[in-house]
Amino acid sequence: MMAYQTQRDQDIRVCSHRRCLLLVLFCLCFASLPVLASDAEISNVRTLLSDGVYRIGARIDFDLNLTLQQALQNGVPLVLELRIEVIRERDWLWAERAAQLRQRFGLQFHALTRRYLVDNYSTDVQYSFLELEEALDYIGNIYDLPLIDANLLKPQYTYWVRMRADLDIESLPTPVRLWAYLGSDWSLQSDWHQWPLQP
Amino acid sequence: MATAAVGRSRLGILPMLVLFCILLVSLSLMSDATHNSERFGQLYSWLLLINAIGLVVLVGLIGSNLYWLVSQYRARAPGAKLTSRLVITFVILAVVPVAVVYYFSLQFLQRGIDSWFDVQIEQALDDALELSRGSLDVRLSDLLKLTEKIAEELAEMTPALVPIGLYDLRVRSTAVELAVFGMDGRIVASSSVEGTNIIPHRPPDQALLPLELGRSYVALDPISDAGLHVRAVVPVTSSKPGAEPLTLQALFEVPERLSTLAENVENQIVRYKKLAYLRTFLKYSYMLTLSMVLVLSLLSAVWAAFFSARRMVAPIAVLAEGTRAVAEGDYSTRLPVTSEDELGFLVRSFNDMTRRLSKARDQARRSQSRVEGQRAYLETVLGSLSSGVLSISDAGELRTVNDAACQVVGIDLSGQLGCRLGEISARHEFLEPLLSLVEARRAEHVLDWQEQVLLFDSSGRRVLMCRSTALPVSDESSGGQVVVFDDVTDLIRAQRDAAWGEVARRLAHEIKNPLTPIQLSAERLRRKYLNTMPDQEAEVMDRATRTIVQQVETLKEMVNAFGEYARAPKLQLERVDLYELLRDTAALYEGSTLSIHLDLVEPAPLLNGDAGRLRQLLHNLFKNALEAVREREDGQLAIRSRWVLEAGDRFIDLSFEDNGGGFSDEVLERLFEPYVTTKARGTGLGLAIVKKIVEAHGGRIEVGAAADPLSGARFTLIWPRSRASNADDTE
Repeated sequence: MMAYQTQRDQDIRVCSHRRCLLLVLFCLCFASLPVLASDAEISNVRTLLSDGVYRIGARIDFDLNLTLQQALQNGVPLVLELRIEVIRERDWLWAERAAQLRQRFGLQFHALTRRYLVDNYSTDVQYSFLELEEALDYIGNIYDLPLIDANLLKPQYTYWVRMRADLDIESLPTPVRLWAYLGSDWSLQSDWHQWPLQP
Repeated sequence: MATAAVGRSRLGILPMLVLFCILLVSLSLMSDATHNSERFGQLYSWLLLINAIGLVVLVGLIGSNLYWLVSQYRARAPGAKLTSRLVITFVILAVVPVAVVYYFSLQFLQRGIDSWFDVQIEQALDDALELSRGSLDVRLSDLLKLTEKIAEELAEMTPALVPIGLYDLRVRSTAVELAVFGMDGRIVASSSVEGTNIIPHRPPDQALLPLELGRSYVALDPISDAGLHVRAVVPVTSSKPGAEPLTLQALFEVPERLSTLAENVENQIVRYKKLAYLRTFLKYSYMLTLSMVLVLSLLSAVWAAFFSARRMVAPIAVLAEGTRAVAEGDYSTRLPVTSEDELGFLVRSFNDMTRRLSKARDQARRSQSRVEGQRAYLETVLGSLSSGVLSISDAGELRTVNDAACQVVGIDLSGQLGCRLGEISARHEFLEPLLSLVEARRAEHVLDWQEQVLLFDSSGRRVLMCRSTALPVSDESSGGQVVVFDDVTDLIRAQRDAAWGEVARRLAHEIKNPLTPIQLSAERLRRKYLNTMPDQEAEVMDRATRTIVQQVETLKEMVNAFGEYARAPKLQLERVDLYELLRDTAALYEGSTLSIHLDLVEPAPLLNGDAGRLRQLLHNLFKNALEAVREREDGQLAIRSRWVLEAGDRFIDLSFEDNGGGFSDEVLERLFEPYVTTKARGTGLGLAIVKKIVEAHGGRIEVGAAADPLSGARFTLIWPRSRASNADDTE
């Protein structure tokens, strides 16, 4: 539980900083560029209670646009991030975040072997794939991901799980970060997908 | 206001320097981060944000300065124009070189980044990559064959021997790891170099896929924590019936040298390709950083321009305000000396100047009041002088005139100040003898002179004794002359009267005494010898002695008259009703040829005088009138009285008008002098005595022509109220 809490606090801090940064940079944007945005769609979400731990599964279909594909082909590593939060509904107030989990995947193209390498930063295991789709399939296939101990949840409240996938702009090379923030086709972000936390 | 502005500017310099340094460091880090993501890459966005905020703050500061300047300019505050001119100059001086540097930097940036990339290098790198791949492919092919050979050997083994045989095979084949998997993916047997690694690396799905088609898989796969490895996956096909189809995976290390070279090639190619791909963004980022540096420099320069201009202009504005105050007459202005430079010197000089001005003004005021006091004193002295004083400028204009001068000439000359003497004499003709004399002497360049001048006006002849003195010349406005004159008419007349009195007294004394012996001697001769003489001689004797006696008699009368004139008996003063006296005297002449008309206004004047002398006066006037109309049958004498208000005082004016022959102008001038007469007979003392009595009673007598229809002579007796109070006053 402690580990969850610490991770959660850090994540809240990072998240609020990033929002602030985003807001200011958007204010500085003079004209929006034509966007051929990449997309990520979340589906097949499921929750499983096993051994007193809630586990989730989901399917995320990443659709990288040409820019990101070309960037990948030209040696630019991408970091895809899954953010999963457990939130508690409250009357008259915004929802409280009970837990937060981040899954980060590094995706890069290995020119010598013409393979796509995926680094799971959570497990520190590297996988290689011949095709980009395979690599994205691997990243987008979430199963049996332990989320929260059932004991941490209070039975009288209603909890929701929400998930979003995006491209970590801060991991991009510095020259493109500004453009990514300014909403160009360097961005990739899904909407929050939310479902009730119940077995 | 200006001092406050300087104060604000001074307060702002330290925060401004800090802000400038922060922005400079931040821009430097940003530039570094653009160049090398490793070092400050994580901070890049924050640096960008800090710079943007810093620039906005700078813009705000400049905006407030600009607003201040515009408001100062509109309010026409001193120094506002100079400040704006300085700011514009500073900004132009800063913008032009920075803009030029910016333009060329952009050019260098564009071309510099483009020059990093070359098609030939790119091709060479691709070739190198291809070569690496080819080299690796040969190796892969060899290792695949080796693996297939191991698989064949394994196929011959019984399942129980597989784990043991596998170890031998691995040692022989120099593989890092050999693993045999069953159909369901279970590990049948494995052997690896590192004894600790119990669980073998599983083949990925894409490696198993070709097996389903009966093909082998060989590829250079990156293995976690171990770098590139050659992974070969082949089917183990046993000829024994019922044997389970197995899969063999062999992992071979890539030779270190080959691996290192391949990694190097890979890394450099990736790095090059990444740079080439990102070069547009790189250019944009560098341009952004450069632009921010430019904007920072410009804004700092503009701010510094405002700061310097305000600081430079502040003492000038203070000086301008001080000058304005001095121009408005406030000499008490003292400016604070804030620096020791040329401006400080200027401010100190200004303070000295105002101090001296203030001193000079006070001195001038004192001098002026002293001069005014002296002038007032001089005017008082001049005003209290009985002599008339005229000062005449070098150009012949009347400059000053005192009250006495106006009284003497009977004209208010203060309105004629600044007029030329010729103009004044044209306006007042009777002054012409005096003024023309002054002009004539001026024409002769004689300014010191003394002369007697005769003036004629309605009141008669006036004799002025004039003395002119040249005034000293000390400056342009000085010089000229001062003319002092006195009316000596009365003095001369008095002198003449006195002379005549002396003559009369001597006559009375010297002539009267021998007359009686002469008369007695003649009578004695007559008495003694007339009867003794023959008739003819007696007749002569008789005529001669009678003539002597008669002439002596006449002489006696004359001498008596002179004696009367010369005698100045003491007046027996009493209250005399002038009308009553007049009526009494007129009654004595009622039987004569003179028709007397009395026209007297009430109240009657009561004169404090000697009734006998006054009666004598009236007699003389009646007799004078009687003699004037002696040759006329309708002789008339009109006596009128009136109270006159003149110069704030009341006078009784008593006129005697006859219809006789009147007097010629020559006679009129000297009528009241003794021995002046128009009659064949008469001593000529009658009117002289009249005048004497009038003057003895404090009055005056005037003579002129009678008004129509009488057209003879007119005598006017005038007594002031102080001498002739009326009945009402008495009451």
